[in-house]
Amino acid sequence: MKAAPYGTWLESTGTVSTEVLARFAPGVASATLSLFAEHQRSDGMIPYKLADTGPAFSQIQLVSPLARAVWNHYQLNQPGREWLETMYLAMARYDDWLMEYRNTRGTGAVEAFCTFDTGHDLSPRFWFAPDRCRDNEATKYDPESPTIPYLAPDLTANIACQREYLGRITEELGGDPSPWKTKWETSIDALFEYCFDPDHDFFYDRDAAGHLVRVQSDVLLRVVASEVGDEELFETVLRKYLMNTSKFLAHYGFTSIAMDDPRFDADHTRNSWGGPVNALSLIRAPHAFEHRGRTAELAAASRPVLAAFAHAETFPQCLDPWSGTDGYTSVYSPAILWYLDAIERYCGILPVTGVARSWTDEDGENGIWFTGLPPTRPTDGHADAAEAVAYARTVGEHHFELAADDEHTLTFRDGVEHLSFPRGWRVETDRLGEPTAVVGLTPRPVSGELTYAGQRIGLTLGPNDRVELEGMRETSRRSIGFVPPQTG
Amino acid sequence: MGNIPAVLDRLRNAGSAAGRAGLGKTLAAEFASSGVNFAALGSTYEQRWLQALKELQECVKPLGQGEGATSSVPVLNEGGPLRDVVRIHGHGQY
Repeated sequence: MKAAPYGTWLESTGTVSTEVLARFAPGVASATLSLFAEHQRSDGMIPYKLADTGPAFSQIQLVSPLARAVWNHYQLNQPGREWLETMYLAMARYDDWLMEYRNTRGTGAVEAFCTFDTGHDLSPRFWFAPDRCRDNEATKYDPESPTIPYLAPDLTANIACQREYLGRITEELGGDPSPWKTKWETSIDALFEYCFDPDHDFFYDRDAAGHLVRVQSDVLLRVVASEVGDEELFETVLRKYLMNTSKFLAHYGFTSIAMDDPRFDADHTRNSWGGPVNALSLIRAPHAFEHRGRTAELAAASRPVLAAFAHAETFPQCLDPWSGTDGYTSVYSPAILWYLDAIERYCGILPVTGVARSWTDEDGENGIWFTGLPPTRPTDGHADAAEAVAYARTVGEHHFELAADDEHTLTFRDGVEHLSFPRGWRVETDRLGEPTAVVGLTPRPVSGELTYAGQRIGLTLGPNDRVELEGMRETSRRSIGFVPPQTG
Repeated sequence: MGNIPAVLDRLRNAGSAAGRAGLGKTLAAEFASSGVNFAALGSTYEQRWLQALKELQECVKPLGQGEGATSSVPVLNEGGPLRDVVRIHGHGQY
């Protein structure tokens, strides 16, 4: 094994990966997020990377929004208002910087000057665009390029989502969130006006000549993981792309280019966004799917990947879409954290914040997810199935345990039996462990009983069905259906 | 409930995650506080979970050394190999 970590990256390490890490190591998460404020450049630019040699400013490389990671960490671990304010001021200045230097066409969309601005190494999205910004300086682009600056949907969606969470943070700090709402609307309007193709229901770059760059890439997953759109658009995106095996749904994860594109190249042995499954797409996917209540689709897509990871020798950046074989790199923190997340998400105890689907709705309280979908089925291939699994986690004052076999899930609170429910359900609770909802995770309906504190409730839950509970009584039910894998 | 008592027994007697994975001081304290642990009967899921913790430890370290360090406290690093070749297939810019 060759381990030589190479810095902390804004697109990944410092955002989505740290957001997962915050559930396990909140102190390290605080320190990691703080770096981006501490090393902000005097003109307001936040470094895209921090390494042993210092901060780097040669590209912007934005993918997952920093403000969401900051907000969720703050909600979950309470690092303090002073910390939140420091992060807020840095991010607000960076928003100004982006509008000054990455809005040269005056559209309100955020522009990509080079391949590395989105970290899309080897992606045909950027064929004939330069890899780097001119003079290795993020404020400059090469005017000899025939295509850039792009109006980039993923960068624009990132900033839209960033603004949404900056609004939440402003409100928490006692300010008025409405200016951020106005800015968010500007970003969303620009995104749909310049980058959305209604004939394809897809988001593309618009190049310097005004043409859409019709390469179907993981830009789509990035955009919807930035909470853009609504439930209707997300279902369309699932049917046409993310759950479509001729587009992005490989048996082992989401590919980086649509599989029916002639430029698709599955080579997983090098750092490539030209086709193979990237661990970063996997760790970003829950933000897209869970946010829209598409828990069952995400679970279906994740099962073979989890089995493949359990069988692999390394934690890689790239996976072979056809076999799940681990490829390029090892000791890769997004892959490591995806595995820790997946175990917790499907057969563990996951603390969550109460962020609402729309930032115009009131956020809920923090809670806990107890999930009973253990990897006990040999049908997932690769690794032998487990016979049973067990997980432990302390939340607040209570220590919880979950144990699940192929039929049943049992949890304990401070050593005393707590919840009992069948395989295929997730029970959501408040931070003390009182059930607030039950969600169906499997493609077929599951009937059974939830027991808690001497009370029982019988339910039948189809995929993604969500039953809200109060005092162990059903108060409402939401059924949005299920999009099984499509074949084209 | 077939295997549930056995797997619970394994979880409760496995020892701390930090001890099993050999975590360093910083991560050990954090994992002790979160109380996170995992056990599995059969297959390689538990072994890989412990491997994940060990490799996470390799990714949590300061950036640089001494007075001019980018970060003197441990932070999350991206991981992956350090490539000393001119990038053709590298991750952004090294």
